[in-house]
Amino acid sequence: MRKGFAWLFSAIGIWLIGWNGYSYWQGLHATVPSTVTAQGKVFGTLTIPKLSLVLPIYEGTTEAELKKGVGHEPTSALPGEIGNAVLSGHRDTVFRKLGQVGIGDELVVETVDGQFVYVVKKVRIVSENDRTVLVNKPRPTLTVTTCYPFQFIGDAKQRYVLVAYLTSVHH
Amino acid sequence: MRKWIVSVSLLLVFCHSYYVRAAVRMVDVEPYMREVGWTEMDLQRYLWQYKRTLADFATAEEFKRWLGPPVTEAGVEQLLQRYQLTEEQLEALLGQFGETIQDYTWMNDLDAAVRFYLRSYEHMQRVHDALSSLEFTEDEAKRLFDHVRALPANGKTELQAQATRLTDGKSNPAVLADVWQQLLHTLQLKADMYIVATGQMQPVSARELLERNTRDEDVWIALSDEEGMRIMDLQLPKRTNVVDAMIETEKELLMAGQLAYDMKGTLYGQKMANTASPYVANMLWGAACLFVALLLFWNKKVAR
Repeated sequence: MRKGFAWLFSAIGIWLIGWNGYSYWQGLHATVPSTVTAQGKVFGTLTIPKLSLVLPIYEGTTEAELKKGVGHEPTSALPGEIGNAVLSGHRDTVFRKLGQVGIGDELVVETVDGQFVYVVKKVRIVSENDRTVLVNKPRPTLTVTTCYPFQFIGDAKQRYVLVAYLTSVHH
Repeated sequence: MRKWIVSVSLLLVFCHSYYVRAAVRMVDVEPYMREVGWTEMDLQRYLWQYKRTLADFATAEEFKRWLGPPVTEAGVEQLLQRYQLTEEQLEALLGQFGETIQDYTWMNDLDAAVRFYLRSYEHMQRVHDALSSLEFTEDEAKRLFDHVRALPANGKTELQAQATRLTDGKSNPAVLADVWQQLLHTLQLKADMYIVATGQMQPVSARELLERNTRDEDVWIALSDEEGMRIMDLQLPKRTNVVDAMIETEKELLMAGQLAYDMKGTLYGQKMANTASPYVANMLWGAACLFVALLLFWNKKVAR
């Protein structure tokens, strides 16, 4: 009986470590696919020059998208448009170094419509329930959100938010 | 002829030199920019937003006129009077959108933002009021808005047509069943309806349900998109007239659908995505399981 439980716990432990380890590794090594498949709704890339990082952007902010890269909030504006384009990502995988990005740093979004260069204007640390982040804006704005503190394990109660304004476009 | 060529050339050179002299240079506006705490880069980025360069202005005065006055207490006072706001109301309004007065350098931009945010705030209030009256959870509303965002734009007109049919053909089960089907078709949703009685769930169609006059069981409706992802659950109240309950449910869904069409591509102060990955925590649970397994194996060895 005890042996059976020991084997059961071993199996559960190995499965939890294996599957979650693989998912974590996927996020850590999120790369931009060379070809966009019909299933993969990649619609662009987010480049953070300060971190020498290029991340794929997927449409949607559910776990399925955040596991693979950065998610674009579907009800938000598209990059380059007037309004607020919102991107979110896991704080311990794709955005684990986002805390190093500050005011004046560039965030570059590239989609089929062109390359949009944003400059960070504001860094905010807000509660997870803050309703002042996913709001409309009168000018082309990029809002990047992730959980805070970065070293926290589990559902953090705060969010780290970068607010950036569009400064140039290259078609 | 030669005289003519010389005259035209001189005129061109004069015009060109005048044009070159006319353009404002950074050095002309630098002291003013320093006063408002801007660098050359700040100015270039600002001008870019309006698709302008310094060369578009003939004089520094013209450039200053275009910029308008910087944000000052007197300017803010005038703005408050124009929009009939108090300073606290203005701060609260900007705060709703994560901003402060200090984020603005020029009165023109602050004025445009206040105008925009007053409109957006009204819109946000309408959405929140509608959602509370529909008693949808925030997650359900978000899933519906995300789903409708990808649907064809003419859907709202179709929903309005169904709303009219619902009003005209009230209490006619055939019309109600058809409106229900059309509604699901327009919103590209699948509905699984069940009668829940003594813990058992019996599938039922809308038409079958409407053919019953009264019922004592709960009716549970699961709405999913065409890929099977759950959008929301609806429950018909117990011991009410089925026709009335269906009319109410259809009305709610029609209203939510129209609202979702209005919300296409706009934000309304919803909650941010959960960006905490569960992987590290789950791996720790995995390690705990392995530790328990190790203890069990160890105890077994000792027992022997």
